[in-house]
Amino acid sequence: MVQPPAPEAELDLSFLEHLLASPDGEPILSCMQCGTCSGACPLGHAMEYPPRAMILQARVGDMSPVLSSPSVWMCVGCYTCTLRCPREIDLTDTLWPAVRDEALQKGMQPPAELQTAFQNLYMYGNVLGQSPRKRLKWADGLDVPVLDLTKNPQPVEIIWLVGCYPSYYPRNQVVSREFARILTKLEVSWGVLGVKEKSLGDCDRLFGEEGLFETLVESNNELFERHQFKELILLDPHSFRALQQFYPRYGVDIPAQHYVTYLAERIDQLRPLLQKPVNATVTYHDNCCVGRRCACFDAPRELLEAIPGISLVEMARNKDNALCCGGGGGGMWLDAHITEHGGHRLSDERIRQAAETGANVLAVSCPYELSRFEDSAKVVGVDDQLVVRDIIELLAESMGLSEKEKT
Amino acid sequence: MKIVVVLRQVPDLIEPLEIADSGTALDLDGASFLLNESDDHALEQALLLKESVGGTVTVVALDFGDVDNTLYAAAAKGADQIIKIPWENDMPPGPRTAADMYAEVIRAQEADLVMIGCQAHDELQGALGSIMAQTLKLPYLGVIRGVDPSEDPAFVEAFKEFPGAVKARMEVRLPAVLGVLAANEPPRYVPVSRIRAATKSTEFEERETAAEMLDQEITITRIYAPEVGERAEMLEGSESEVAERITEILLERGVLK
Amino acid sequence: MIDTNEVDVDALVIGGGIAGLQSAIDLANQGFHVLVVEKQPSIGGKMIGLSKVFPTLDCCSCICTPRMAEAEHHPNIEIMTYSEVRQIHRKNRRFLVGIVKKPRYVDEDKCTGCRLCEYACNTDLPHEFEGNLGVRKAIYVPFTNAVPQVALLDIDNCILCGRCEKACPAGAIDFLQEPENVHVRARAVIVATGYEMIPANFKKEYGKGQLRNVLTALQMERLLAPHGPYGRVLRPSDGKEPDSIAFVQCAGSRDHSAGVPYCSRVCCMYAIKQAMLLSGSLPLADLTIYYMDIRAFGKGFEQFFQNAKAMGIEFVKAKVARIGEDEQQNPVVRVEIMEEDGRVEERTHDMVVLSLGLVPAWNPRQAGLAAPADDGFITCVQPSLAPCRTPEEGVFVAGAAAGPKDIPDSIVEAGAAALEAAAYLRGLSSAANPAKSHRHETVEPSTVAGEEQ
Repeated sequence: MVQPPAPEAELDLSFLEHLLASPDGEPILSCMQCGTCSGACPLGHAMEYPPRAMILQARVGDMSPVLSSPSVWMCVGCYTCTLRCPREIDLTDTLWPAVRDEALQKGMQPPAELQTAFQNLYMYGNVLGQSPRKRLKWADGLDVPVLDLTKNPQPVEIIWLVGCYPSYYPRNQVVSREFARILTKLEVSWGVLGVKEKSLGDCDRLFGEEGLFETLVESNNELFERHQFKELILLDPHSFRALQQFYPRYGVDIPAQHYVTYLAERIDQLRPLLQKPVNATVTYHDNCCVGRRCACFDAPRELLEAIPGISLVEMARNKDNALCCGGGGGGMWLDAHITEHGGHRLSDERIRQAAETGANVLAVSCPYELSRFEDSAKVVGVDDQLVVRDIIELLAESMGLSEKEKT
Repeated sequence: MKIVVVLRQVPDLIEPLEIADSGTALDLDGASFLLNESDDHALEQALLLKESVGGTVTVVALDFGDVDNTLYAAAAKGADQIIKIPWENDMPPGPRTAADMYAEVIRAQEADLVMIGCQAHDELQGALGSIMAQTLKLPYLGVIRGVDPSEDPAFVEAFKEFPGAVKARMEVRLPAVLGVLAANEPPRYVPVSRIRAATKSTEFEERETAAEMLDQEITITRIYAPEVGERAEMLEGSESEVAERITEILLERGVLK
Repeated sequence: MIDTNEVDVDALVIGGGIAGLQSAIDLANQGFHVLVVEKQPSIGGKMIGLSKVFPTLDCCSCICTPRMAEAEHHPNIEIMTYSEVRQIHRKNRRFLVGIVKKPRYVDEDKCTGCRLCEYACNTDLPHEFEGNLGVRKAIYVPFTNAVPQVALLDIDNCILCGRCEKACPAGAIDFLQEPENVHVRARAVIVATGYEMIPANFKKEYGKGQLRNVLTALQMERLLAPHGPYGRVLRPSDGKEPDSIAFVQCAGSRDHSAGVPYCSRVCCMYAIKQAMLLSGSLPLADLTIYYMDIRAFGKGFEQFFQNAKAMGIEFVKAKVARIGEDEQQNPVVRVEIMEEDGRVEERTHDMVVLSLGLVPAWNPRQAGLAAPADDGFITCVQPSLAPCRTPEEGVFVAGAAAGPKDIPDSIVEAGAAALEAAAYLRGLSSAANPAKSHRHETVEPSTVAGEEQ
């Protein structure tokens, strides 16, 4: 599998140098080619060039077979390789984006769906290719006021960055409305950025579309600078991760929290509001960014356990060992590419694991997961046993704020 | 091979099109613009030919809509020369005026091959390519689905698809104008970093033209949204009721027997 | 708690494993009085539980038991088993050591090791010495060749039925025993606290220690030992004779993610040794060793490794990323096969052995000694020139307490520590009694010890 370069071939170490120059790139030199990353990767079996082999090719100065292989577009950003690496090499945030950037720079074409997602981000600031003017559509007919800071600039405690899926995707819009009601109920001073909001660019960063990411960082920073607020709250764990890890590299350092930690901090305020029992056996799927990468496992469980009636069961693989849903870092647009090249949809595998617990609710805390798992539940045929619900929905139900009761 | 490609701006359909108060034109005030899709294919085809036989690609565009973004992206993809024709109107010119303007610029280029999208979604008759060819006194072949170099450098091979799944290969003597529907490959993705770099390094050449605004031979009498026809029947009730009703309908229509 | 009178010795050796025993014997042979404190109910440490040593394949029991007996019977060595050093406090040039002797509930002086209590007891419990693969009673002699041959009552699991008490011909059972505080004064200390294996559940992705046919290397040692729990190699879940056994190397060594960045030094060789022994006991079994690098650095090691390859043991360069199991409880390992056209594969074996890394067994801080090094092992102030010296004068280190090492190296180091300690003790005596400070003079340490007070 290792392609020895032809003897006459000039070794091209420029990629390795580029890699080493990137933040957190230096430890790549300490790789001992043990292959833990490859084996740890839930899609490693489908990769012709898993991470270990990529590092080897970079070291021998022969990246061309790597760049043209489908492996380049098979990472779904689950951070398992990074966390398992015996040498603590930051593969997910360093190696993969660099390899992809190199592939793009060398003119390799990303899979079609991903291209579309990139183009949508570039042109419209959202991955779904929706009109930026419809960013606030989710709030149509909402029974609590939504402060649009673009129209009414004023200092607020938190800006809620709604996110692409929660703004546009009908299934997620339900969750957005419920989150708005919860924030209002908690008497938080909050606002949204309305039509000016743009994706934070988390997936492009992981996908090596560094230029696109930079563009989004610049325009988002400009936007944030225009407003007065204490912190940003996000529903999307990937965007949270982007703000926490990558924005500071561009000098943009803004306090941000994912909603699970934000709400868990207010658990005492929430508890008396959680009145209505939600009788369900719930299993929680740890998303990769807030979970495995940031080791935040307690906050979501604390929220779920605070809801009367819920009994929480764990999947065999949980917390830092949880299996990824396959949607991260652009994976949402790679299902076709991955299945075409010998991989599988991780959400299908994961929903089976959820069903095995006997739970009747799979709780999630990431906008991608709702649609991914609902789809997988149907594909795998466990949709009669299991429904997929965001933690927000379960909280809202217990608080009497759920969409069902409101309509 | 010297190739010239014409790139046009069309309204982006992501926003609903507004009809102007006159009722005979679109209100383009709030519209955003992007590159016409088949022009994008024409550019891709030009770049593929250049990569295969060498030469240069010159892009010609009217200064209209968000043309600068389009042109920077074209430069990032590999266009060698970018010519912008000043245009001050709120509406794009009609095809005859446009053909005159493009032809004037292209004539000076002494191109071997001129390519343009065979249609644009604001101009479905696809007239521009052929009128332009006539103005340039060059042969025209439209609705092309791919162009390959020919062994004889004086020719290219163009492909067309005809109804009934028949394909045709045509030798086209150069210079010629080709109206492209699709390139051999889908238009390439170019990383944004390249576009950003091109924004800094690319210089546009501006060419004023002497072409005059010609009267339109066609007058639009009314632009309107399609009238809502008979609406679909929404089936209501329990699952089994709905299933029963579907069966009835299928039986009524003779789908099931 | 009983407080006993103070005991005076020349040297205290913490740990009665092979390194501690060797140091004690070497000091005792020079006339120093030595106290060995061992936290387990028997001396012998890890070595006495092993099958054979590499690369010579000598039987561990056969070469370790004589050392244990020698220490036990040495007139200058006193041994306290089932005892823990709680505090070491330096006062002038002397250490005041607080030791807790845990209750055995069996009078050591009366017990003859006849095991009648064991036969009478009807409470069956997993046997720790056998890696929990075998069974022991609530009252038991730690293992066949334990030293001392004295029973021990596991009070936490005892149902207090009194059968043992009735069965004991010596009247040695004492349900009312209490922990005993022993105060020792020593002039030198040798730390020989050895190592522990990193717990098998250290990595979630290796089955959290809950996969029945995934064993630790020490469990495999017991299966291979002549007097092991099954008397032969069988897999725990169903007693099947395994046809395919895999070793997972660097399971918790050279692994930042497990908190053990260093190499544990012995795992390559013990895995090869175990594989060789297995190919003897199960000639038809497929044996696979998944490794990152084979570090065969010692005398005879490389040849040993080459012999293993020649014997047909398969060496696969790959660090195992995950271990699961199928419906028959066969372990399934997920590895990247790196050879030509290799891919990430899931391979099923009958049994998997984790070559677990070595971690320190004792933190010197808890007894008031200098903090350990970053890796948790005892700090050596001059690791190259005086590897047995610690930051504290008069405190020396031997064996795996200073860092992972194999048996021969531990024994060499134990001798070196004994020598350093002896020189130090003699230095103390000369300082106390300048007239006697002639270099070549033979000092009678026990007489000097008294003079210094």
